[in-house]
Amino acid sequence: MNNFSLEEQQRAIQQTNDDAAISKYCAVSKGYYNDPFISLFVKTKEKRQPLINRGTYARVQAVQLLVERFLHLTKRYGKRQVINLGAGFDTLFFRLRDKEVIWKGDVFVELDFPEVTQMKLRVFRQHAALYSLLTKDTDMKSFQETQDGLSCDIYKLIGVDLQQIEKLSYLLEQTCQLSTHAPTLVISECVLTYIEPQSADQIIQYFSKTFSFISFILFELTFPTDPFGRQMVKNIEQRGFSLESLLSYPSLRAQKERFIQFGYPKVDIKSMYTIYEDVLAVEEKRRIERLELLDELEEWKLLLQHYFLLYCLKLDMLQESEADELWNSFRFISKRCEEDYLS
Amino acid sequence: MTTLDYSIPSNTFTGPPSTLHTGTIKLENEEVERYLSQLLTESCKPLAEEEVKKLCDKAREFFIEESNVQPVSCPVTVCGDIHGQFHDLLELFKIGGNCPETNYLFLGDYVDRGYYSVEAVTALVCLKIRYPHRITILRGNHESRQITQVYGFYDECLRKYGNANVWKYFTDLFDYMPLTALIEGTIFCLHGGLSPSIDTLDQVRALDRVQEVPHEGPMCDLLWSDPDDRCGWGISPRGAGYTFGQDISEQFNRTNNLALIARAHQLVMEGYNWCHSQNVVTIFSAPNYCYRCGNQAGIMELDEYQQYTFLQFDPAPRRGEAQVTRRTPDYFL
Repeated sequence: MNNFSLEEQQRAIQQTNDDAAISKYCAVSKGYYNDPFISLFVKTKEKRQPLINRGTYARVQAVQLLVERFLHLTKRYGKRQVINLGAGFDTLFFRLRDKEVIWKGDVFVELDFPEVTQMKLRVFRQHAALYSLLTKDTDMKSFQETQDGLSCDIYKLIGVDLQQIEKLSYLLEQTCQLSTHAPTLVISECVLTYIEPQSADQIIQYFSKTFSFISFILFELTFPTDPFGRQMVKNIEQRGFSLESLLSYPSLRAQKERFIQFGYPKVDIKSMYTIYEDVLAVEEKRRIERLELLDELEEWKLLLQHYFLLYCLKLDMLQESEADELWNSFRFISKRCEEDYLS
Repeated sequence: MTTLDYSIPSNTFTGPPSTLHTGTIKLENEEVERYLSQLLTESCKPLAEEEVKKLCDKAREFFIEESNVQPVSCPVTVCGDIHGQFHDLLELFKIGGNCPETNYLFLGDYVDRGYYSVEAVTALVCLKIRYPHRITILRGNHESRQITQVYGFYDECLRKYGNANVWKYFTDLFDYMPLTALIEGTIFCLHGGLSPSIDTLDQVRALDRVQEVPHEGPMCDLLWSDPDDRCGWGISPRGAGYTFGQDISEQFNRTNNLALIARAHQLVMEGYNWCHSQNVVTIFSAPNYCYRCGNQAGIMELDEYQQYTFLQFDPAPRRGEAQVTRRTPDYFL
C-alpha cells in the first residue's frame, strides 16, 4: 500500500482521466481513429509512444464495437439504457449520437466524481457543437443543469462517488428514472480496479440484481503477479493510488468467475492482445500499422496481454434459445480463447 | 547509495602506448581516461560537445579498420541491447567485470528508449578507443539516423546539448561500426539475424557497410531479422528484415562451420533465451526494459575454452536523483 491520503489518492485517480483523454487525443491526431470531440476536452497536448497510440486505438475501437453491437441487437426495444461508470472525458455519447446509433427514447448516463463532472460540464458550456448534440431532438422542458450535472431526455451527467452504492441506486432508479426492464449496458473502463474489491463487487452485483436485461463491459488491467505485472503495479502506484481490485482478481479466469458469481451467466473475457490480433478489422489494422513505426513487438505483446476486455449478459425475461442467439451475435469470435488463461 | 568501483588499472594492461599513434586524430590516453572517469564515476556527466566530436573522429579510425565479420577471441563476455539504460550498463560492468579485465563484445542498440543514451554510447566509445582490442562494438538497428529520430536519442541530444551536433557526430560514427563478429571462428554474433541474401560469412565480408542502415537488403536483414518457430523465411512483423526458421539456422551453421549464432534485438524475460535447438541464442542486457517490462538482463560469459555461463541481473538501484523525477512509463488508464 502507500502513504497517500484519501484526498490525494482521489485526486490521483481523477488525473487518470486527463491522462486517458490526452492519450486518446494523441491517437486521434495521429490518424488512428476519428473522434471530432476529444480535442475539446484536452488542455495539454503531449506526445505518446506509438505503442500507446496503437493500444488506445484498440481499446476505443473494441469498446465501441461492443456498444454498437449491443445497440444493434436491441434495436427493436423502445428504450435502451447505457451507463458509463467513471466516464471522465469519454466522448462515446457524442460519437454514438453523431453516428445516430442512439436516438430519442434511449438514455445515456455518465457517472464520475463531482469534480470531474463539473469540469466536463464546463467544457459542454464552452462548445456549441457539444451542446447542439445534447439538445438535438430534446424536449427542452426536460433540460436541467445543476452544479455538477446535467439532465435531458437522452443524456444525463451525474457527479457521484461510485462507492456510495445506495446513492448510486437512488440516482439511477429515482433521479434518472431508469427502467429495470429495458436493455441496459454498463461500461466500466479502468474504474473498478481503483476501488476496493468489496465495493467494486457490490457495484457489479447491484446491476445484475436490479436490471433484468443487462450487459456489462469491463476494460481493465490483469496479471499483476508476473514480472511485467509487478512492474506495472509499481509504476502505476507511483502516481499515488493503489490498484485495489487488481490483486483480488489477478487473472482472466478470476475475473470471469467473479462475473459469473455476481449474477452474469454468460461471460467472455479476452486479452487485448487477442482482441487486437483476432477481432479488429484486418484492413483497418493494415492502415494504422503504417501510421507509425512500432518495432518493439515483444513489449507491445506484453502490454496488451496485461489488459483485457470482459463482456457479459444476463437476460431474465427471454427464452433460453433466444438468449443464446442474442449472446452469440454479441460476443467476439476469436481463435485463441484458451491461450488467454496461460500466463 | 552505492559508490561505483571503476578503477582503471593501467598496470594490468599491455595494450597501446600512452598516446594512440594509429591514426591522424591525436587523443591522449590520459584524456580518454578523464572522459571515462567523468562518465563512469559518481557524476556521470556527459562530455562537452567538442570532446564528443574528437571522440567520434578517433573512434572512426578504429572502426574503419575492422572487418564486417570482426574476429574476436575467448575469453569474452557477450552483451545484448543496452538502450540508454546507462545505470544498468554500470551494473553490467559490476556483474561482468570492468573492461579491460574482462573482454567485451556488444551486439548493438546502445541508444534510444532509455533516458541516458548519450552517456551509454559515449562510455562504450571511450572504452573502444582506450582498449580497442578488449572491446568490440557492433551496430544495432537503432544505430541509425532514422530510428533515433523516432525513439529518443535525437531528442535526448537536443535536450542535453541544445543542438543536434552530438547526434550527428554519433550517427555519422554508427555508419562505420562493424556488422557482425566471429568468436574463435565458431560463434557468429550479430544484432538481428540471418538474411535470405546471405549464405556464407564471405558474403557478409563483401558488404559495403559504411552507410545508413538501408530499408531492405542483406545489411538491413542482419540488423533486423528474428528467429521464429516456423520453418523457412517469413515476413517480419517489424516491417524490416525477415523471420527465419530452425532449418535456416541449421543450414547456415553447417555451411559456415559454426557452433552457434548469438544475437540480441528481442526482449527475452530471463535475459537470454535459447532457440532452434541451441543453434541460436538471444541475449538481452537491458533489465526492466523501458522501465516497464520487468525483465531480467543477461550476458554470456565465454571462458578461454569457449564454455559459456549466463549471468543475469536486475535493474541497478538508482541513486536518489532520477528515481523521483523520472516519468513513469505510460499505460492505459
